[in-house]
Amino acid sequence: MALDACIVGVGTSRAVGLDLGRTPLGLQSEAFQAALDDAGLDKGAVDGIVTARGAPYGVDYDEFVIAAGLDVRWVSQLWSHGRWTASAVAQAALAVSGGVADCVAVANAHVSERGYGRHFAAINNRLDESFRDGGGPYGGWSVHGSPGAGTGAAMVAQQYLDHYGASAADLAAVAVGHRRHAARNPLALLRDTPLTTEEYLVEPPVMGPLRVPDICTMMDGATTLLVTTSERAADLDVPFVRIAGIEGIHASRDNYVFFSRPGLGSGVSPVYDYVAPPTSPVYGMAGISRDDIDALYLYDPFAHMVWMALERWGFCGPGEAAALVRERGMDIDSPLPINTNGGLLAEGHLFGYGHIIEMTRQLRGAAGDRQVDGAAALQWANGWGDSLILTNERV
Amino acid sequence: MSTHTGATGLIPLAGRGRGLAPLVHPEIEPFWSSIAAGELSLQRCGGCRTLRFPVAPVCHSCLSPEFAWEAIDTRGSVNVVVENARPTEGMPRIGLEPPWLELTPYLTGAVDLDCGLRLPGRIVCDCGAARSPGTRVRGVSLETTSTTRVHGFAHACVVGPFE
Ligand SMILES: [Zn+2]
Ligand SMILES: [Zn+2]
Repeated sequence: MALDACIVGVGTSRAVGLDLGRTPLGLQSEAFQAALDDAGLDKGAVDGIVTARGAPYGVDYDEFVIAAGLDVRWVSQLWSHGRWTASAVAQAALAVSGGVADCVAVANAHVSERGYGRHFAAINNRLDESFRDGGGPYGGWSVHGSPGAGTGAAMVAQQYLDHYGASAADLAAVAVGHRRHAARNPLALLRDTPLTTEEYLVEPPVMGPLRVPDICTMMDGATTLLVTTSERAADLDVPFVRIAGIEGIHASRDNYVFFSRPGLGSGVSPVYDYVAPPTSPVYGMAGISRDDIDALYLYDPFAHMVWMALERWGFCGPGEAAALVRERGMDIDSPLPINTNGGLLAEGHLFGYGHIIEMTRQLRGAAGDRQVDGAAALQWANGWGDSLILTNERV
Repeated sequence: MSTHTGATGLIPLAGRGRGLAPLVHPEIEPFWSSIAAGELSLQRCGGCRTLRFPVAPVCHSCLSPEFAWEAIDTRGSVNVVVENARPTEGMPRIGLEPPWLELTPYLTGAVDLDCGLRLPGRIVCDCGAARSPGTRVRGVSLETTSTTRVHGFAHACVVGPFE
């Protein structure tokens, strides 16, 4: 089965922010309508749905189908994590390629406990994966004082600093770079909150080496992507954007800590200099090479994640990413622009789907004053091995 | 349960803050009761002799469900240490949760034990030396918000020479 999938509609809730006074279902409805409008489709065209963020802080697929009056013949619902971005998009791509659905909505909504989620405090199903017998997916352990995502991420960042001698100024380059992108993104949470290296460096470390600007902000917001086949896409009046390659999350005892690439000794994993293979399946599926990538998009709840992805995917060698970003930058006119929407760090936490929407806009040439000139092949790539390649070139 | 005790077990510490109480359930109760007894017992595979961590119902090497609890030497070298320096604000799920907010500043991280396994744990050190990877530490047990103790690691500045 050849991959045959296009993104024909993208939408967000009318706003994203700390406290929008809207339920997850309300936000998701806005994003869904926006994506339909973008594609020029009626809701009746949607016959599949995949979501990754369920109730109570997001929306289960059945809640949405009932509320929006959909009639779908294929659904998938992943677990409540940003890690599923590529998996959810890949599932939609595989579903339309395989003919089990014609048009799949990749829907995601979330409200934070700082926002509308505070009204849900009485719902007693808080998730604390760091309380598992074997510790959390971030390498953190609630009983050892590394609860949630932050300290787990901090340990990975510290391991990288320890192994390779990277510095606070290196982390600053990542945080400041994301903030510069956000200044050009009307949707971004931190659009009007500029950050200089000097301002970064006077911030005190909070968890390990991480300062507040290294840590994303959870917020309220929703996104929808509409995925269909190239044949159906041709009937629509939207610029061509194709999902050209997919690669799944890699998992093993050497490859499981969510905020690390292999080789840093996170969790129970061994310590070694991870060297990326010369190529990876996602490039082969897309029929391009790493050198063809015009900009990189990656999951960035914490600043060091940029380093993890660059080294995991071979854009540099082990230990070289910190200097690479500091010296070459990540701006739209740099050799490899990164997270041009401002990422989770500065656009806000849209679970990675904000990045996919940005990739689509870039490939449509519709990214405004943050447009990457000649963007033709963009890669979503993470330190734990999942990837998507989107292109505006036909097969 | 092994009855081995001695210089390589866990030294109980008090006055170092009460961390989050673990979730103890029947299948993993021997792990926690070993800590109460001043030891740190892990599972030795009955099929291939692999010593395993985290605690698990099968061997990650051979999938055998057979094992025996074995008290291990708790000495090792710091792999990574981070300081949770201050209470986090406005970071639900990302930042610190009770009771850890009130315990800041504290150190936590992971230790490469001499037996070859890497274990997580708080790192207790008053002199700052244990912030550096490679620093030698040994096992201790720490108080929690319940009566169950949790393992951690301490530098010689806290527990005296141990090797
Ligand atoms: Zn075995
Ligand atoms: Zn000390």
